[in-house]
Amino acid sequence: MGDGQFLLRTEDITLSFGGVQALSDVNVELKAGDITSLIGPNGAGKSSFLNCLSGFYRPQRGSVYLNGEDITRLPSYKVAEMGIGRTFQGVQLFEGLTVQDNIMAGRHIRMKTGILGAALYFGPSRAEDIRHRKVVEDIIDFLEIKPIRKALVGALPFGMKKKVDMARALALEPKILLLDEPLTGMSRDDKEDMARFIYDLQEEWNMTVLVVEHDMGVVMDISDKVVVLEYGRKIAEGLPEEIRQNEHVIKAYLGKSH
Amino acid sequence: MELDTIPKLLKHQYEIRPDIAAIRDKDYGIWNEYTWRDTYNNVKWFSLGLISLGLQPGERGSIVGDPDPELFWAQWAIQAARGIAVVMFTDVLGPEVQYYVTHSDSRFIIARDQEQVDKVISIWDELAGVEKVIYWYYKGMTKYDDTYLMRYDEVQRLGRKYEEEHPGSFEKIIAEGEGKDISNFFYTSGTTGLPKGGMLTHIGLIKNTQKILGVLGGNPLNEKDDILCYLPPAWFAEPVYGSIPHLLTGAKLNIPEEPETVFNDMREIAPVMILGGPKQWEGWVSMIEAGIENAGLLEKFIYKVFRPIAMKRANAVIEKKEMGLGWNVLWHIGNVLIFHGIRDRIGMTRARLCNTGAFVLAPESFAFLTGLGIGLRQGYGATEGGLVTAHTLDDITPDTCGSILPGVEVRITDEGEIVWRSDLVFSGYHKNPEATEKVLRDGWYHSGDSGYVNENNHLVFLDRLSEMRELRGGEKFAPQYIESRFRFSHYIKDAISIGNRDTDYVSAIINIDYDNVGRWAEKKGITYTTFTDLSQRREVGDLMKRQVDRVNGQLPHETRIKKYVLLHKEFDADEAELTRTRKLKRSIVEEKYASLIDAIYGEQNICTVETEFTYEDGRKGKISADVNIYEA
Repeated sequence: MGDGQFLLRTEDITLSFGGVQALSDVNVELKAGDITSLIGPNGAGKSSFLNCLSGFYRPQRGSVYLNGEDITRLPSYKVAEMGIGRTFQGVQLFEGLTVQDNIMAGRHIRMKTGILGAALYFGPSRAEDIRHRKVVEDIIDFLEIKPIRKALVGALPFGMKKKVDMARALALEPKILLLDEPLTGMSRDDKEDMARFIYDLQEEWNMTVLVVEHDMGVVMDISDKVVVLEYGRKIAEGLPEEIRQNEHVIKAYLGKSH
Repeated sequence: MELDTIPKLLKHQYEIRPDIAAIRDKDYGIWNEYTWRDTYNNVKWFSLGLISLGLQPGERGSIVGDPDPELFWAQWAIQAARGIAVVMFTDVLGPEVQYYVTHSDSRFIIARDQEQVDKVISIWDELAGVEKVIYWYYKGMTKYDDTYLMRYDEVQRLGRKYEEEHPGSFEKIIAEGEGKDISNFFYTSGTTGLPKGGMLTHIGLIKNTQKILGVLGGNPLNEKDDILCYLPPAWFAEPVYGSIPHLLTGAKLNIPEEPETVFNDMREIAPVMILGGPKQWEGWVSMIEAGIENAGLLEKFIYKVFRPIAMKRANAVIEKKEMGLGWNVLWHIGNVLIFHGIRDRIGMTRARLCNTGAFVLAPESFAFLTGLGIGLRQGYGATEGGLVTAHTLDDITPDTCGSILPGVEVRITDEGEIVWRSDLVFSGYHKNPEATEKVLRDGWYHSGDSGYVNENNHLVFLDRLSEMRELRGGEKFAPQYIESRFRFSHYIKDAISIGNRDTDYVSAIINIDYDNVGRWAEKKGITYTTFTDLSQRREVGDLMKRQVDRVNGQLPHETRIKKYVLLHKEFDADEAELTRTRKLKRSIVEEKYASLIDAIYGEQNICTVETEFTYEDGRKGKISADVNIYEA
């Protein structure tokens, strides 16, 4: 199949840390506009895989292609510039800044004015600031975090920080969004909200999303495709209902308590 | 044309100030303005759209969702088409939506967003006779393809088309409207049974609003003033405190960004009218106190210096005395230095009409706010009966609901119920003549509230009639009213008033506040060992007598407290005497202290009380104490 249909594709990704084989020959294809979920027991290599995609880790072997272009060896900031945004399992934010400023910081690679222009704040840099603020406000509106716009991130509960982290990733205006356990540590209500946001991202913004998540109910509800990892290997891939029936998966993951 | 309907008021404002800002809505973090022309056109297109979809005069449209300009426009559009608006509370559940929509026989549902539309979809099969479900917040709605769903702007597009085919029809239908037409159903949830749809007329709502604005006297609202829409539009108080004052005077209607951002938005707007329940006002008091607690040393010092001056002013207002020139000058210095800053913090620098509902605010809170220059007043009214009383600025007494408004006739029935008659009373409950009959007899509205009119012609609200108790002689008293008055003293933690058909008078069991009474005792040089010891000291008994006298001063003669005791232990939630939220469990307390209560109504002036309690490990223990019985 040509790359026209797949936005992001990995070929035989293999990664090891010393003697530990984290990923072996993982092939995954993300179709443009799909929500793909990556599931698997703890230590299966899900976060490592995400780190390979976003340029944090360099796989020893294998390649990552974005629209047919090899991005495996690019540094993470380049990957971000090319349109891959991500959130983190443990939230990575500036705790001493407001929500608004954190999201604005997520846009820095889209900013063009130099230091001098920004300091003087006139003409083009002012116009640019207003434009960026508009995007930020759209995201704030989208994720329904208006009441905490001016709150310091450090003072927010964890579930809220997760939303802000997602907002920060969205500020990049990515084509592909990688979400690392977006629902962990959230209340039932927050989970429902978050699942709806992910769904809306696809519907309204036509975003391609890859979600690493443990909440099977949500995964099966929102995914177009599910990929299962175990001990660094891909053991299954398919529609949610196929995965639910797959005996290998049931044995490895679904059937066991986790 | 007489301005006797809501749409006529809107059209009038549009004609006299088309390009002045009417509504400001905070969205994306900034205040967006809509002129009267914007409002008028939006209402016009939406109204004609509904008409072209088949809305007939007298038919209902239900609205649900957080306030946005579209919510008000939709409401006025339904009313302009001579229909009736039914606004629901934002947090209603699917089955409730079903009840309101089917009970009101609504032809249209206007729902803000995906969340609200989902509720409607979940019960759609149960809804007969609804033409369309219209939504105005499009996020997440792209893939919804049910044929009964329609976008807000799509309805307005139909409206424009209708206007081309029937020019002038909107102006014509507005002119046809009459003041006596029903404009809204306001559903009131009684404590029992299903909510009842109170029908209010255009002119009823307008007159209620005029009564409220009338309290402002020679300082009426104008187009430079700001009103903040923060009350739920499903409640009768919203139109009369928000949207209709806006339509009557041209004052700007400001819509907060989210219900959660109200405090912030309020600070930015500094609205002229604020209506809050006692809980909200007390919330503001504690917000201010917390703010001072966290302030810098200098601010704290200034506050400490000027606080007595604020209290002086509060007393002067409440006792209706002149403060004297010197004090006045001092207060104004304090105002510049700190009071204005505090008012600014909570967005009350421009508030001219600050009202609280029927339940009485603690006098300390009342005095605190008054001292800071916030002209807080009480009012009393009901959805079905309209406004009845209000304080005028020169006649404020914290423990009454204020004097009876001109044009309202108030009577207290033999049962002690407050009933009244005025042109503000509603037109009955929708499809429920029996319920209407119960509250509306010969034009008199029966409120179900108990109260009396005091010597200054102020109305005093006691409690719901159903909560009242009766003495042997048939005199009624309000236990909660008495108990809440006791709690206003910081020497008293809790109190319970006793009295029923077997007793001749009311008595009280009082729980002293150990910390505050303890401190008082130390200052007076009174020695004590334990709670039990302190509570039974004669001096403490005398201290409490002053509190009982104070409470008695607010009660009618025949239900004054004759005897009281100070309990030897604190009421305790672990012993089921209180709920976890510190509400008294009356029946349990009465049963537990039955022997003490017998003694109060007997001849003794001392009673030995034994109470059993359970240790954490399950063993039972007993404390016994001699409890003094005092006469008030």
